[in-house]
Amino acid sequence: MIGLQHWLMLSGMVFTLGLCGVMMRRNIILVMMSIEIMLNAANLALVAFNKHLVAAPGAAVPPDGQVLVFFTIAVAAAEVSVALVIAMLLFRRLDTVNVDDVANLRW
Amino acid sequence: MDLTSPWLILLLPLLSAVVITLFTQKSPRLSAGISIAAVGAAFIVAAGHLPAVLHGERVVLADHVVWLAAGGHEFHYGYLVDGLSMVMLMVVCGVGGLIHVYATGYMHGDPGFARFFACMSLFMFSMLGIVLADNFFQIFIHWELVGVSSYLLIGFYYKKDSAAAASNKAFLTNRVGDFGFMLGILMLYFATRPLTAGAGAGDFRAMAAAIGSPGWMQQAAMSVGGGRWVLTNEHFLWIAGALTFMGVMGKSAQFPLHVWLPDAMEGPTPVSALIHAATMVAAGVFLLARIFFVYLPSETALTIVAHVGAFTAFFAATIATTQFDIKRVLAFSTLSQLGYMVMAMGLGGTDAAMFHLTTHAFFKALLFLGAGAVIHAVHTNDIREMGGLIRKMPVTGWMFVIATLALCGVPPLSGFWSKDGILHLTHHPPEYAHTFLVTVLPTLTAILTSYYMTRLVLLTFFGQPRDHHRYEHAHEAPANMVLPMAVLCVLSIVGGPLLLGPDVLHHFQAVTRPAGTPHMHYVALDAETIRNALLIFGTGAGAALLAFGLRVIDPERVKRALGPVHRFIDNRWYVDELYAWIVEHVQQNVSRLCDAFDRFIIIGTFVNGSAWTTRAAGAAIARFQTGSVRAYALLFLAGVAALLALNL
Repeated sequence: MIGLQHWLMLSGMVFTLGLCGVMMRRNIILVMMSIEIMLNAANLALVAFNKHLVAAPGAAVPPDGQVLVFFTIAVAAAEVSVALVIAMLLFRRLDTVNVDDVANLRW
Repeated sequence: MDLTSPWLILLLPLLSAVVITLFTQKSPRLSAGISIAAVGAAFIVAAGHLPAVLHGERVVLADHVVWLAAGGHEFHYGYLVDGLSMVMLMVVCGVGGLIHVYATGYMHGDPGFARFFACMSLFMFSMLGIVLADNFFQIFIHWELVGVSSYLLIGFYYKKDSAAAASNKAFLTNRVGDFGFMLGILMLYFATRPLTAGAGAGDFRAMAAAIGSPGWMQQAAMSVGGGRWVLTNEHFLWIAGALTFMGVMGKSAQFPLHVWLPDAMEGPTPVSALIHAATMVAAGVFLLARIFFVYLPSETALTIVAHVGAFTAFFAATIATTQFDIKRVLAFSTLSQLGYMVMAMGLGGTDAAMFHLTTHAFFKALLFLGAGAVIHAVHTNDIREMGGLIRKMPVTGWMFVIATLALCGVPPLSGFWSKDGILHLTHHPPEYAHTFLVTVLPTLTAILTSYYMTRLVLLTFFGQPRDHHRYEHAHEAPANMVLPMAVLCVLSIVGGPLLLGPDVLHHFQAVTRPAGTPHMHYVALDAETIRNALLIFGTGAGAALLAFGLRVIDPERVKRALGPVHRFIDNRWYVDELYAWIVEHVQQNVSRLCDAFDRFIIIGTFVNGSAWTTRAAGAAIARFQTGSVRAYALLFLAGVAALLALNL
């Protein structure tokens, strides 16, 4: 029987995978993909929590978790479109997609 | 507008000053005409109210507009024409008008001619504002305006360093006095405020009634301080009186704030005559008479006033004996006579003081105008380079002699009546003034006065000319200078009861004397009084004649014999040196201390310290701004982890 804790473990593993990607990768595209992975981990957790939600007696389980996931996906799509534009301009201006090369905004 | 309104007296000179400044600077003749016309018209308007005053009405006219109303305080700007202000109006407009006419001759051809008359008109406006003011705040405003116009006129030859320095000195010295004056006004205003509801702030008549009423201090204390006032009636009044007296000491140049007046002689001579002899310096004496209700209940205040005056009179007279600048001798003489007036106020003789103020304005203005004519003729102020001038300029010379006799109190000239009125007071002083300063020194001062004035006349007009070049070029002054002098000369002769008559004098007394003070006993022309006056004059004049006329005594030998005493007096009692020492050693050190405090504590610690702290904190935190996105991500992770750790 697969319970909540399994889903959460999966979610945690995916999240850690994404986090490691963000910390270690230098290619901006890959960093962004890692962020998406972390978001999906969060989505997975939301859906899992909703599935195992115990409703009040006699009432239907509200689909809050599922609905929230849709919002997350929509916001993530918007965010990715902005981020991709940034990545594209970065490449055009500086001829690189390596985030370590882009360190002008500093003291 | 009503052509007899006292507003005209006040506004015409102001209008003249504005018109000259804005429109007629290019035309000297027109400027002088406007200025003289304004003073003349003011004099005529003022003279129109003279009959009512002579009939003995205490308040003839009073009116005001509300100038400022804020927070329960209502400040008025108005006028109060009574006997006292009428005396001053006559002196200021009359003598002032004559000096304006004289100035057209004296200042002839000066590049600043129009500016001079604009300043003179501004001064007349300021001075008339003091004379006509009906409340403390208006008088204070005009007090300061007089200071400003005096500053402008002393520094008229502003390209001369000494003139610029003298005008600064006059202004700064007056500031010291005015600070006390302002404190005094505020003390009196807040104490009497609950008792003067309905009247304007600091209204003289309302305040006089309040301070005169029994138990006024308790009432005032209850409503102002909730009964927590520590000062009793007696102490409150003398402190307020002494503070207000500081204003008088500044304007009327009483010791120790007298230092500006001798230096103020840097201004043109008509200015010396108008401001530093006849009118402005008399403002302090006038103020004492106007607010005598403050001093009347307090013997301590009167004692201070009497002794400061008596000391100034003697002190200045001694200095006048050693000076060689014709205008400086007259300046110290003015100090001395002002001391007489202030002392008379302190002895309760407001009418004696005001009487002396009036006659002094006549003969001292004449002396200054005469000195101006001499300076105009020989182009020097130094009497050592003069001598024998009476042969070259007889009219000026003899008028100068008459004014000198009037100043020395020779009967029956005007000065005799007023001066003996004051000397009479010192011979029968009130209880609090039975001191050496008041009873003996004034008589001694009168002898000194005769001595230095005779010396001045002898050195200037008689004997052999000591500088032939200057003597040859000397000439009689033009008519527009001689005529005003002639009028003043007539007034100097008949300015006493000869002009006013015994009955009129009685009215004069009645209007200037506050209720509760003793009647002044005017000198009758009895043989003893005349003998005493002549004895005083004879002693002083005789000594001067022996030394400078007949050359029986050699002044140089007297100087050597007196040695340190002479040096002490010749250096003006080292008052200026004392002030210089105080400025250099006390004030400078205090300034350095304040400067160090400002530099190290205020700027160093607080201002720069806060800047350095912010900068250092910024520099430390800026280290986190590496620009590396992955480092930010790591920090972000650490932050989230920390928050989670805190919450779980």
